[in-house]
Amino acid sequence: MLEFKNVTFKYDEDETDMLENLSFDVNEGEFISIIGRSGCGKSTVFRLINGLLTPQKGEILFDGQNIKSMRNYSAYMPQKDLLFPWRTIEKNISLAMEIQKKSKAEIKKQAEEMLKEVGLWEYKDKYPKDLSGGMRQRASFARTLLSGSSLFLLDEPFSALDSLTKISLQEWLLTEWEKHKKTVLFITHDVEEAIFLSEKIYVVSDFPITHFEEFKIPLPYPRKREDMKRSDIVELKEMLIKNLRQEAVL
Amino acid sequence: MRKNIPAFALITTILVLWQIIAILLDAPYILPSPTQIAAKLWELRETLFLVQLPATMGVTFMGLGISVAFGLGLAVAMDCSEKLANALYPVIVASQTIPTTAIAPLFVLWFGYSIWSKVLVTVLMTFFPITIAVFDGLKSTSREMEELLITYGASKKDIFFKLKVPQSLPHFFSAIKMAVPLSIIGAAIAEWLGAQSGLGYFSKRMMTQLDGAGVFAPIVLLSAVAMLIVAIINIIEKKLLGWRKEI
Ligand SMILES: Nc1ncnc2c1ncn2[C@@H]1O[C@H](COP(=O)(O)OP(=O)(O)OP(=O)(O)O)[C@@H](O)[C@H]1O
Ligand SMILES: [Mg+2]
Repeated sequence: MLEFKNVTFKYDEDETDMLENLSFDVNEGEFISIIGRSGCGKSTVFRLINGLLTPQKGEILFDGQNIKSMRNYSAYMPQKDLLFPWRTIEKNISLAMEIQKKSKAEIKKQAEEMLKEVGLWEYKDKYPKDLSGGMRQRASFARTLLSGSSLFLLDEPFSALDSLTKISLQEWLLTEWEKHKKTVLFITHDVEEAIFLSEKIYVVSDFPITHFEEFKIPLPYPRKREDMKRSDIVELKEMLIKNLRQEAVL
Repeated sequence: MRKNIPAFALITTILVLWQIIAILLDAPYILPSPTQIAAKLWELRETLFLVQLPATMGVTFMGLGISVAFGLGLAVAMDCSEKLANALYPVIVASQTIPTTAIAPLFVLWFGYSIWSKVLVTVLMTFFPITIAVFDGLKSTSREMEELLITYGASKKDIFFKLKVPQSLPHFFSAIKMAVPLSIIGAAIAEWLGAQSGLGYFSKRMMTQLDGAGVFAPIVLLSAVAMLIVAIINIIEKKLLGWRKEI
């Protein structure tokens, strides 16, 4: 579904490349987490995928087509919820549909269904300031879902939440993912979160980024918290953390 | 309501003190007492409210209207074109230091006693603050929100109307609230300098007649009107900007 072919990218301000000849692909319906130390270029990869940045070399393909000529193939959910404070929750989640010039009736119908689904129906006429952090992330996720894209780019969506809210939203996200059959790329700093959520983990281990180290998570869905205590999972987790630590020292 | 009590108490104290001093001084041509001013307001109500106030308000609103229209236009143009902004922004900021009141007589010299000399003074006093405030508002839009809209496929027009306009609305309101008193001051000063009607003109005429209360009455009226207009704008602002975090 998504393919990076020998992509090289450098910010104008920088001396060195951020990405060098990076190739990887993502298949339809996969849930992949990307982990790596802070500042290694994870968000940059997302910005390349959604077209906010263009690579100097190589190409990025979506369903076999260069993304240069495409729009609205990926939906980006940033770390901050970025809900528009002057819009009610209903209007916020309708944003992408408004831009796609859908009819008023269609927008209303889809937004209302979505509000019920994410449990924010009672809050539809409230403003973001009236919602808790967890609710805001759910609203932000609903907005992303309603963009109609099939590739989701979630950039540390839960990192600002308290740990209890985080856990319940992780479980919620998995049910949503199984229901909507979207492809998800998920950036996180949290190794445990990455293991619990994803089928595969891509670890950024070099600079400039030339490849991702790939780890498969041997757990079936639907997943349970108890699975995290399995010895092979604990081992995997320790290994990943050690891996990331070593880089941090370098 | 309760938190306004100290302010009321302070105003009452000042008025009472003023009244006492004015009575002791007994020179109403220099310092008329509040009750004398109130009596004068009542006495002159017809000309003040029906002739002079409408004349001054005409100038104020005409000047304000022109400033808002052109200020918004210029701010939007500067937001669209970086070149234009780079050329104009420093000039506009620097122009803020020119004492408008000092050059106002020039306009009377050029445009005579017509309404345009007065409108021009109010425009000069309000145009640049409005332009700067709105431009700053448009520039303050969050880059991340803009990028989010771009990933949804938003056009420049979408970004302008769905992001820039709502985000700069609070700036626009503070600009207007600042501009209302300024434009009233501008109108009154211009009338003082040369006019055949208006509260500024009327106040000056009373001055030549050594009528202290008559000088004060139009000024009190102007202040009251300015406060009233700002209060109305506050109400509209609260309605439109209810989404803002309460502090
Ligand atoms: N617009 C830009 N221009 C120049 N350099 C940038 C720009 N944006 C980011 N960078 C630099 O690129 C590097 C990678 O940034 P990026 O945001 O991709 O990292 P990240 O892996 O997402 O980090 P974090 O985990 O902290 O979010 C950083 O060192 C950053 O300083
Ligand atoms: Mg990042």
